[in-house]
Amino acid sequence: MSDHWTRRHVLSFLAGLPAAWQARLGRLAPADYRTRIEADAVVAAMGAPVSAAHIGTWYLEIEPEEADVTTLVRALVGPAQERPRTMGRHHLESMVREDFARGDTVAIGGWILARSEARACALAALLRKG
Amino acid sequence: MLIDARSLDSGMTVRSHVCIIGGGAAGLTLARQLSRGGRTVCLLEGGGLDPDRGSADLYAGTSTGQPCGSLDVIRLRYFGGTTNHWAGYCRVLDPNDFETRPWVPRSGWPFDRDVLDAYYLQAADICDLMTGTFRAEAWAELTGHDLLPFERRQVLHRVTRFSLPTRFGQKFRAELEDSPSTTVYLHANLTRLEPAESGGHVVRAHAETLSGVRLTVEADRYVLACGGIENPRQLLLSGLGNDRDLVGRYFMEHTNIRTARLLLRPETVALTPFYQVQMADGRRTVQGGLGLSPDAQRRNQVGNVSAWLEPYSPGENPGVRALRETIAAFGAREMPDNLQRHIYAIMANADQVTRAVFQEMFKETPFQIRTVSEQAPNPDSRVTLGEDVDALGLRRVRLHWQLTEFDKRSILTTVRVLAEEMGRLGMGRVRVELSEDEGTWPNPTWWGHHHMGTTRMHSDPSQGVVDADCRVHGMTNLFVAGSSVFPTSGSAGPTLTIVALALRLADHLEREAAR
Repeated sequence: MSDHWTRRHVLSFLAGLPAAWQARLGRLAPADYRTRIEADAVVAAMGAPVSAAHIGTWYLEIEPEEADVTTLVRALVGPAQERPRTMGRHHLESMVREDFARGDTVAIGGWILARSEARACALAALLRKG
Repeated sequence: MLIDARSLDSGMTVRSHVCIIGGGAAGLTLARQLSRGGRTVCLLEGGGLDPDRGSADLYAGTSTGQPCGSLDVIRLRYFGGTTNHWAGYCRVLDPNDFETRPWVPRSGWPFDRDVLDAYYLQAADICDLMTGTFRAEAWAELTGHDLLPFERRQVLHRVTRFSLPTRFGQKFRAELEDSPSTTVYLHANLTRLEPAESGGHVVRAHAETLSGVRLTVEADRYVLACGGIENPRQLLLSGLGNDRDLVGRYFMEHTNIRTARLLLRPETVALTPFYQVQMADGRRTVQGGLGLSPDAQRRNQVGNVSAWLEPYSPGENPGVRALRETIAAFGAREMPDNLQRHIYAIMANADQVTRAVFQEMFKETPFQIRTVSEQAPNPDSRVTLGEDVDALGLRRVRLHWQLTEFDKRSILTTVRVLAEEMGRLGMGRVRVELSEDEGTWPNPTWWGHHHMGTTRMHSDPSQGVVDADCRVHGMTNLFVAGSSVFPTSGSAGPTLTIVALALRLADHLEREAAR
């Protein structure tokens, strides 16, 4: 919320730019193919992947223990054996609204976001890093 | 009749049924009503028909705590009083503002809102509002706009109406000049309310002009109507009504803060026209706003806060431009030109860059939320007398405006609930820009020039300066009019309520006089 906070995050974004550039040149292989497919679907459902990745980077500074693709996919779409379908835009929006209704929100740079959308942004950040 | 007291022979004594001190919204409303009932009224106005420096200086004083503006500028000491710079915002207090709310310290008026309903209608007419309704739904229908689809359990709509604004001095001058029963003495500054030797009632009001002319008024009843800072000062100067050390305490203001930014989806933006100032026949009529429902206030244990949406145009920012050029260059797998300069621009405009990232993410339109909030009654927020004296030899006022953790939490919680509701309903996202730190307020914290609570109304003399009839506890014939009697402030501009209470007081004085 303060200038200090936002400057710090802008700096971290700047530091991440070369890595993102690198990632575009040669992606790292994901550990689990299905998880990766679902993670991609989540990020696609978000739209604006570059901005989502920035927000996700800031979220992961608040919740560093969630900095793992499998953990985030599980948190968003459930355990592998219980996943009914790949995440779509409407499904994500529905989760976001439920989060807001429950008050399950997180403040990132002062913005009040649903936990689910913050996690989806975090996925975007992790995928951009490869 | 209007008389310049400077032209009188010094030492004169005048008699009337009622002596009113102060010619602002409350005093002029009272004078008109009482003279219509055939009572003789003597109104002492400290200023003249126009502002002048010498008179304004009598309002000067010191201010500590939250900055509140210069005390001789934020109040106007001439005929018409502070309505001479009133912005014209009119709202009725909400019904729950009158209730005892256990989570709001010292809340509760000695009567319900419906006691004022009929007076509010008359006040709306006096303030030149076209109709008396304050229902948002009625105004939405009248203006042909839709309301944002909030769940009523959480968020209610409210409206502010706009007076011309009515300048009471200009509007009622001719009527009072022609009145056979009202005499307005201009430049007549109250210097003392003289109690009977036995106490319990006032026998005389003493006034003096800056040129040295002295005037004495003997009346059956006296009404102080000098505003939320001067009313307690006059009681303190005369040593009246302060047996319980309550006079001057509980000073309240309405903080007026840009609290949050909003990014709204296009379909929500289409529903925002009602929340902008509506115009009709070249004048402002109404503006829609938001607030928590009484039930949501109770569940969240907060005060009453109004939220007003305003479009926000950030314009092109050098940091945002540098960010876009940098991203474009990296996207094209090129090193951007002037990378170092771009980085400096992004760092220097970090806050705007952050907002731009979120705006890009949500593809939404920026608005901002301005909150006008209720302040909980606080005994340490108070008006006292300073050591300096004014040109009449009277001690100047000292104001200490103090906000509390409750006041901050009320605003933050209201915005958070609005944010969650907007998120749940898919309207957009909210960024809270008000610091959560209890002691940190925006500098300056904007205010409404709404000075309230310093002679608060309560049936119990141990908790209030005036009773439910606005009579000073322990005094049979001394009354107070104006926002200083408000026990709590709500989040509505006070003028309409000041006028409504003055009309009610006029009825009371009429009934008393008729007995």
